[in-house]
This record gives sequence, C-alpha cells and structure tokens, in this order.
Amino acid sequence: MILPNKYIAVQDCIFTSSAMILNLIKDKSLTTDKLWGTCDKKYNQNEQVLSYDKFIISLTFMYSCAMIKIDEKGEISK
Amino acid sequence: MGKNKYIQAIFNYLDGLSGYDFQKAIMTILKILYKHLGKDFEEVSSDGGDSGNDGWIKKDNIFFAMYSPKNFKSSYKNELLQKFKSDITNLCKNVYEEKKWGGFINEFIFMANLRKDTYPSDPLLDYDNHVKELEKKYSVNIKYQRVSSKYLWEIFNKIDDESLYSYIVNILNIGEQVDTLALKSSDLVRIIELIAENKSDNDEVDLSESLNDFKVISAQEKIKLNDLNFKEKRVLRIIANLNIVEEALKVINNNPTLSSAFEGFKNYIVNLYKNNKNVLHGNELYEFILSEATGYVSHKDSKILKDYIEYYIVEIFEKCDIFEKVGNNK
Repeated sequence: MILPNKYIAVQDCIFTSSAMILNLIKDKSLTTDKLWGTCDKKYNQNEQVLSYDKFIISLTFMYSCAMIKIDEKGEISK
Repeated sequence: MGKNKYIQAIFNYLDGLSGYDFQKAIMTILKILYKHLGKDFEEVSSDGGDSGNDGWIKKDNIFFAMYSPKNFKSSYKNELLQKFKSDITNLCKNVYEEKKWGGFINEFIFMANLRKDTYPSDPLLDYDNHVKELEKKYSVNIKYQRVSSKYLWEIFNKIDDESLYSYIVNILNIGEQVDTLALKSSDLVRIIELIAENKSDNDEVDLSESLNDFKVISAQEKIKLNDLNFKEKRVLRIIANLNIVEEALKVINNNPTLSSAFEGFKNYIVNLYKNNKNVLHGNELYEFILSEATGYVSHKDSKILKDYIEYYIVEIFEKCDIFEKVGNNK
C-alpha cells in the first residue's frame, strides 16, 4: 500500500499520507503525539482520511527513507 | 422494511425497459397488486389497434395507458403530449360513443416511463385544454392523472406483504438484482476482516505479485474473449454495482492490516487463475475460482459469503488482473 495501484487510490496510499504529514511538519519539531493531534485535526474533520495505524506506518516509511529525523527528545522534524 | 429491496429492484428494472416491454411489466405488476387488494385488473389486448386503454380496474372504471419512449431525444416531450392526446381521445370514443367498458370513465391514468426524469412542464396547459375539449364534446367530467412509473409507490404503500414483492420479483425474473442490491460495503469490509483474523502469518500467500500491467479493456470485450457469455448478465450487473467495493476498499486501505489481507486475497485469486487457466476455461474457470475463493474464507453462511466473494472477483476481473485481455499474449 506504499504506492497507488489499481486497487489503492492515490489519496489512500502511504506515499500520499507521508506527503500530507510532511506538509504539517514544515520546520517544526513535534512529538509523535503532538504530530498525530495536528494531523487528526487537519485531515479527519468530516471523515477519517488518515487512520492512526496509517499515520504510524507512514512515519516508519518516512524514517526509513530518511525523510524525517527523530532527536533524543523524541521529536520529529524534517 | 424488507419490501424496499424488492421495490428498488423493480424500479431499476422498469427504468431499463422501453416500448411494449415496459407496458407488459407494468401490466404484470398491476395485475398482481390489484388482485391482492381484491380488485380485478384486466389487461386489454392491443390487437384491434390503439384503444387508449391498455388495462383497467373493472370495479372502479379506472383506465390505464402506458408510454415508454425508446430513446430520449429532444422531441420526446412533444411525443409524450401527442401520445396522451391520442390515448385519451381514443378512450373517450370507445367508452362514450361505442359504450365499451361500462360506458363511463371514472379516472384516466397516463403512465410514462421517464426513468429518472420528471414530467416536462406544461405552461400552456396543453394537457388540461385537451381534456376540457373532450369533456365539452361528451358533456362529462374526466378525472385524469399523468404519472411516471413511480405512481406504483401509491399502491406499494398500501401493501406490506414482503412475500408478494418477492413473488413479483420472481415473476419478472429479476431475483438476482435483489441479491446484488442487498449487499453492503460494510459487509465486504467484514469479509476482509475475517480473512485477516483467520489467516496466520505462516499461511502461504504470495505477496510478491506485483502489478506491472495497467492495460484495461471493457468488460463486454473480456466476457466475449474469455467465453464467459453464460455469466455475462450477472457480471455486468455486479460491475454496475462495484461502487460498494470501491467504498469498502477506501476503508480497507486506511487500515494496514486489512489492506495487507486484501492484497493477499487478491493475489490468491490471481494465482488461482494463473494455475488453472490451462486446465479450465470460460464459465467453468470462473465457477472454479469463485468456489475456491469462497473456501478461502471461513464463514458459517457460505451462500451469502459466495455473493460477497463474487464482488471481489468481479472487481479483480474488471481491473483486468484475471482472465485474458486483447493484446495480452499470455
């Protein structure tokens, strides 16, 4: 489910949810909890677009690709 | 509430009919409904030309005329008016001049198959004016209604007997449409949840299958190419309702566990096809895949399960991951 295919729409794949999360991090350093709160507020207003499970997998994906860093305080940044 | 799925299937069926097929279906439905209400509805043969009466309720002297345009070109609004005028004129002539059908009209109901449309506006009161002319000519009052097939709701509302609707659906031979309408996307998600619950990590599911081909052809072409003609009607009907699979996939793809279970199930079906396509063919191969895939999921009600699984199979068929397609040499 990383990339879109015939069964996974662009908006449903990890690649896209990673971009959505990255867009909220900007230049900030946020804890996982704080980042999830921001994502949940921004994207899950009317319907659930980003589930918590998908959020965690997206973070794992972004960390694996060196798109994000986690410092000793546990804060996530670009 | 159980009757609604039958009623929806009846309206879907009527929307797709035109000409005499529409008239025949409405007559069948009215005959059954009025019999249930203790009234005798008689169909009138059109052998002797258009009498303006396609059927009538003998007890109440209510007359019905039907019209279903073959195609909705821009002139259909005028055709509708002309057909109305011709029908009510012929009916009045038959009733008031030739003294047929009891010699009086209690009500005239002109029913047109407008599909999803409504009656065109009548700012010049053409319908009313024509009826007034006839009223003047015969010195009578004529009550009339111009309605769409949705008029049937008036009768459906009076009858709650679900078995009667089931009977109508069987007479019209549209039972399969009711089956497909009864399915919900949440139940399709549940099927994948069952797979996710019952399959352990050690189960051998080939997840390496990658989608390297995005070529898609029309379902009709594929049905023809793969000799699935026996299944054509059902497959096309399911394709028309595939939006419930799309809705289910939205939920499934938001949950990594379910997404992985669906991926495994999809690959299982693709492998079933690949491993058996040289031994089986056409309808036989389709039935084999359906039966094997149903066995893949544990559920106590295998009949219902089979319907759901078939939706997933048709989704994969429609996305062209199983069965041959034009230009594919495999």
